[in-house]
Amino acid sequence: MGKTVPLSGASLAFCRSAFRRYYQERPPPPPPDLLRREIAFSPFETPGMFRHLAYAGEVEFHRAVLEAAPRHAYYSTAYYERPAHPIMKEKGWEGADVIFDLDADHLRDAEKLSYPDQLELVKVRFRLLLDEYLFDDFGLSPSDVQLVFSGGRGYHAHIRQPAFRELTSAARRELVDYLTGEGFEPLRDSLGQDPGPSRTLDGPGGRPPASTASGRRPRKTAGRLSRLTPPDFPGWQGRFTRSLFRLTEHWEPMEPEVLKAELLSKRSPEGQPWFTDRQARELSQELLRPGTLAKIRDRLTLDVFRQPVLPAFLNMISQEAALELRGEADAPVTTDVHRLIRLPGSLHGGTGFRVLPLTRESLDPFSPWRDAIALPGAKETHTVRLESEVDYPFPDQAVRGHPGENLRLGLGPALFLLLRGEATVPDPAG
Amino acid sequence: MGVPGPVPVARRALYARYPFLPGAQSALGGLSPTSIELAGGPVHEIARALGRERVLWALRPSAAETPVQGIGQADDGARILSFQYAALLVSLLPGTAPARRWARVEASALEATLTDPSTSPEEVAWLAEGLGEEVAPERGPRGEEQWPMPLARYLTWAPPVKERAFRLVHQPLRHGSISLPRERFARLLGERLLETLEDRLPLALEPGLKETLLSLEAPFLREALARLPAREGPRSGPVDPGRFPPCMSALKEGLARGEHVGHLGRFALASFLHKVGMDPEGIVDAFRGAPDFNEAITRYQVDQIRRHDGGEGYTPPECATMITAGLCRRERDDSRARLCADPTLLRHPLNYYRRRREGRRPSPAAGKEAGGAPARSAAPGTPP
Repeated sequence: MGKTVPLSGASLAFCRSAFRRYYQERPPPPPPDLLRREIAFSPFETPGMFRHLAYAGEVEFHRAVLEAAPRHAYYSTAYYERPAHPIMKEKGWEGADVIFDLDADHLRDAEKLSYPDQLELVKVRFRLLLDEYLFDDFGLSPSDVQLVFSGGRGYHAHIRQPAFRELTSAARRELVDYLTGEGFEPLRDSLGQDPGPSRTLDGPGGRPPASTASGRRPRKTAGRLSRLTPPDFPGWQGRFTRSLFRLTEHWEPMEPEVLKAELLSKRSPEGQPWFTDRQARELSQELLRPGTLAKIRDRLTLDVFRQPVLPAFLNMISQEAALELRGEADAPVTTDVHRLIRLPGSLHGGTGFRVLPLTRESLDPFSPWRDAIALPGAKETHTVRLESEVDYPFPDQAVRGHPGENLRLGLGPALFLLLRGEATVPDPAG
Repeated sequence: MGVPGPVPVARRALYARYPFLPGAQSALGGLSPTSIELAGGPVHEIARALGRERVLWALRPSAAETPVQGIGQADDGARILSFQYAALLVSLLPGTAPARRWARVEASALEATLTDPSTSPEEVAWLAEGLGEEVAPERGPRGEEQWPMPLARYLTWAPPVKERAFRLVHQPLRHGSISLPRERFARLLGERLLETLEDRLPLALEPGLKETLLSLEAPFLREALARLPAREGPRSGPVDPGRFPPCMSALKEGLARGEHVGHLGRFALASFLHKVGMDPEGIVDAFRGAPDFNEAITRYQVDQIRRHDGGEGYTPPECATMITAGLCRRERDDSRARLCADPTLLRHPLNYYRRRREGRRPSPAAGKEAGGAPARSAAPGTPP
């Protein structure tokens, strides 16, 4: 993205009036348990937020939304006895929904992708969160979880099941750690090896301790590795084996050079490569020795290498199955029990997209460019002047051009560019 | 499941084993005395003696993790009442530490009872229900006894247990349920009891009862006070900032440079400095560089942190919390961070300080070339 300009003047007036029109035509439903929620609005005119608002009923809530026609609208994930009290401690916390927030901003390598590609990438991760973790492991049913497109670059899952409401921040951190596999140590948890002083034990077939091809003493993980946990085992132990199996199947047809390149491209959560060039070369040769990958799967063992298995190899396998959540960015959304979150049905003030509730079925075909437009029925067009190079896949018209160019756009695309500061409404006087 | 199957031993005997359960009083039938009667009634001397024993046992200098000797010989009624009397007695002692210590010992005793092979699964289920968890044991794939727990309940009960084995990531979680072996389930029930007792204690004694107890139990109180362990902890010797973990150094230096540090960071630093023995003046000084420094507010907040829990002070957040909050600095290219790199050794910033204080060198595993430790951060190719 190139240059952007802050929203002001005619552009601001345009956006504000479009938002007002949206809230008149499609007032968002109040959040469930409205009486116990704090509501907050960010206006167009000034920075900051009006907080500690609370409404006694749907009518009052709708009137307030219409009057404010806010740039951003939020509600508390928490339930309060006195949601309007200005002091957090006095609000009387009575639980909070568990929220998972996946945002492209926080995905590794996302900055290299275009905005549309970021949205696709984050959707893939969101599906992993839902299908493998929330539905399978956590045992939640689709009716327990509200799925929402955030209107920006991500998705939110709101878990409103009463049993989860009173979980403490520490308990919610356990959930986050589970999703990211934090604390899971494959060597110890899946391969039964004590990470203490390495033992020299026979391999399963009475094999002598591994020695390296170069004749050096084995370091890192000498000692026998237990059989892998079967892939259908519950929890992370089974997940680790499944991840390994998936990878072995993916690697099987590869040439050593291709596998080596793939291994070198893998990054730890800290963004570091897992392997050195030499390690990747040796590992790819070992893995692709005839029969090796099949042996791993058939015999549930990693005792197939001439060299001791690299801890980084094991960590990479488990990381491949983990959900990427950047600690400093997404986790607090889950662990903070006083968080405000975007109100489903409102508009995102940075894109003009609807903060759109989705179902598991509607998630797959969902495209914000088509499905999250503020007022898709609005037929009139608007002229905007581009301030930066743009290229966005709105389905009805290509939104593409260079700085200084004027485009005639529908309401959705116009709002999107204006709010992102990539275009302005030309001043009629100038 | 409804009420668990027939209880294997008579009801009152069962309550004598678990006298903390809400139904214990009613198991005494018409014999249930008031607190005043319990404190003064001649017929209750055995219960009182056992109650004193329960408390004194818990306050022994060495950590008492076994139940009171000889309590098995007393009659069921006295055993039930002795528990109630012990609760009154710990409520007379200063601060919350004695009550917590007693609660911890009672919780350990419960755990020992529940893991005893002679305790039937039905009895465990009955006790669990009394503590709020309705559960029926199941048989695992190899016929082993398993205790299924719903995820949300597990997350309510397990986080206070700090051991690695209780972390969710290590549980066989499927379809929202975790099957626990008896030992772990018993541990959670013990923790549950601990929490219940800690919530309940110290009891608010009405003035008349308190005076009666203070005068009748003067010898006991002298002995109990003498047994209270001296305050221990890392607070000894001068504070050495050279031994601070990288996270705390970064917070302290950041504040000194006038950078904005968030709430958790401030809390972490203040509680850390307190725990390593810095005096309040020193702690307040550490915050002087903050862009929004306000002496009165800082002093008040530092005071709150220090006074927490009868002067124990708050414990700074553990490494996992620091990592999640983005305050961990182990990734920084800093030779001091080597000690942090081994998560099996270090889980807490205070451990780092203690380790450095003991003059131990960083462990060989952590200090070796990257790749030597099974840490996720130990990516080969990373310069040490």
